[in-house]
Amino acid sequence: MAAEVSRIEIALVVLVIISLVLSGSTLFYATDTLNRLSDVSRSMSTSFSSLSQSVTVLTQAVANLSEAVTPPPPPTPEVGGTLTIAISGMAPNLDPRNIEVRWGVPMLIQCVQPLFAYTPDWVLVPVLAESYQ
Amino acid sequence: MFHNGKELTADDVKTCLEVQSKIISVSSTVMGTYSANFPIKMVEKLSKYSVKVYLKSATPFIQDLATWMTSMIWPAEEVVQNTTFNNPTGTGPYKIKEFISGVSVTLERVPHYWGENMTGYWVGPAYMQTIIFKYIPEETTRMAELETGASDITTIAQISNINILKDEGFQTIVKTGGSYQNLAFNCRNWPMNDTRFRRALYMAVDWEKIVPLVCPGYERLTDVLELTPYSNPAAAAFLPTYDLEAAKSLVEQVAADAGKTLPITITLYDAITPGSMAEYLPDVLISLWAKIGVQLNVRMIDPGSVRAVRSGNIKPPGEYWDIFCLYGEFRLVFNPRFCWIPFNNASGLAKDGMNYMGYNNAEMNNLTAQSLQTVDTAALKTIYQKIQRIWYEELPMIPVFSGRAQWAINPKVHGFNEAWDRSTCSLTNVWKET
Repeated sequence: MAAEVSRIEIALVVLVIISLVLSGSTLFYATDTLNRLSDVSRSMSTSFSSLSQSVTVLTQAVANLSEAVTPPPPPTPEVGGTLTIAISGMAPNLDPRNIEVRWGVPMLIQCVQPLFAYTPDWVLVPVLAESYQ
Repeated sequence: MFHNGKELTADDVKTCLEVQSKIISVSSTVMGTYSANFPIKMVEKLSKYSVKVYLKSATPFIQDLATWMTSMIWPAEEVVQNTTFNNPTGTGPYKIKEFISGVSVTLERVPHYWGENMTGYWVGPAYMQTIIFKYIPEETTRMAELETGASDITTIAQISNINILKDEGFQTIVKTGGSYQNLAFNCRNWPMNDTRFRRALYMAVDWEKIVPLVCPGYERLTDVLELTPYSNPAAAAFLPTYDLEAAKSLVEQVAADAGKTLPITITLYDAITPGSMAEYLPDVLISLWAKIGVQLNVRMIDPGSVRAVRSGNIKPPGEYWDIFCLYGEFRLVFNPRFCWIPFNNASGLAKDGMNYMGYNNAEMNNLTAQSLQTVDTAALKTIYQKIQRIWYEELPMIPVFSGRAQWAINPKVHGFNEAWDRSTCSLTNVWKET
């Protein structure tokens, strides 16, 4: 009887020991897992931090790019100077009564004007005339 | 006020309109195109600043008469002079400072120009103090002028050269236009007076393929007419489609009806000038039309004679030409502006018009006559589009290709408008960074 009790005790002790070992192992792994999770968390935190920094950098880059793409304000027109235009043809004269179409009109029309003109979309607009009916 | 300080009055307007309406000139000039076609009877001065224009007959083209170069106003005392004026007194943002024939034209800014509140063109005063147009026929010299800064802007003919200048950092403008090239058919004589034959000639050529291959640097032209609110933008669809067999069949019918045998011989008449159709097309046409039973002879004349024929100084050689290479700086335009009337009508009655083809179609004549009596724009549009359809179906002239208006511009030049070389442009907005 005593021997049986003793075996039972021994078995219980073994069980306890096994339980303890298992618990310890579990605890170890749990701790380890927690540590790993913590590392992951830290890593993620670091990643988020890096990502945040990247986004900041990217935003700055976009801002810089935006500045680069936005055209500078148009230069202010300047009055004066000489403009030279090389042309491949020339009208024989600049007489409005007999002006040549290709090379005469573009020059003459800077100087002599008509009563009316058409806009590019064919709207009649007054030039020298005030009105007509 | 004119540039010389003289006040512009009704007297100047009356004199200009009356004199200009009587000018009979060559048709390559503005007045030559218009003079025979604008029926001004007289101009009555109503007050110091108003006139009344009487017409020989009602015409929708009165608006055209009042616009552009046909109504240029300059001092009456200059208009009635017999001598040629190279420095007419004007009212614009520039005045002519110097004209050296064959060399240059110099314009000078008008500082107190009146047009600061104008809408559209000629808003001023201008920015540039001086504009010099230098005539330089050689393209390489013009390019060198631009590259060295001797010129600020230059016209360029070759697309390869415009690309070179673009790579060098110059601004460039490339726009279709400026040289519209058509084949005009002499409709007075057999076989060109047979619509089937003209259509067969068109149908025997795959123009979409041929033009890019044979005419480098040019663009296929499918419309002999400038598009306006009056024209049908899809009218090119009325052109015959490429069909060699059908074309051959038409030629056979034409020959059989006339009791003739193939081949039918016709003559193309032109001069070889740089950039002309004659430089590229004749050999191709000889080959392609031979496939449908047409033998094409090509006769070349000197360029001066071609211009004279075109300009109306001498009659086209109707006794022997069947096809004539017809060039134009502008396409034919339905009203407004250039309008249909340069042909006067389709019966060839235009004394100084552009109906070189001698084309005659009773329905088109009737429609043209109607158009001259029609002012309502919607009704005019209907009439013009009917005319347009007849034109494309009967083909007295076929569109071939167009040149390009090409400009290279110094990057420091601003406001140069691509349309400057057209009729209604101004250089008032052009300025140059120092």
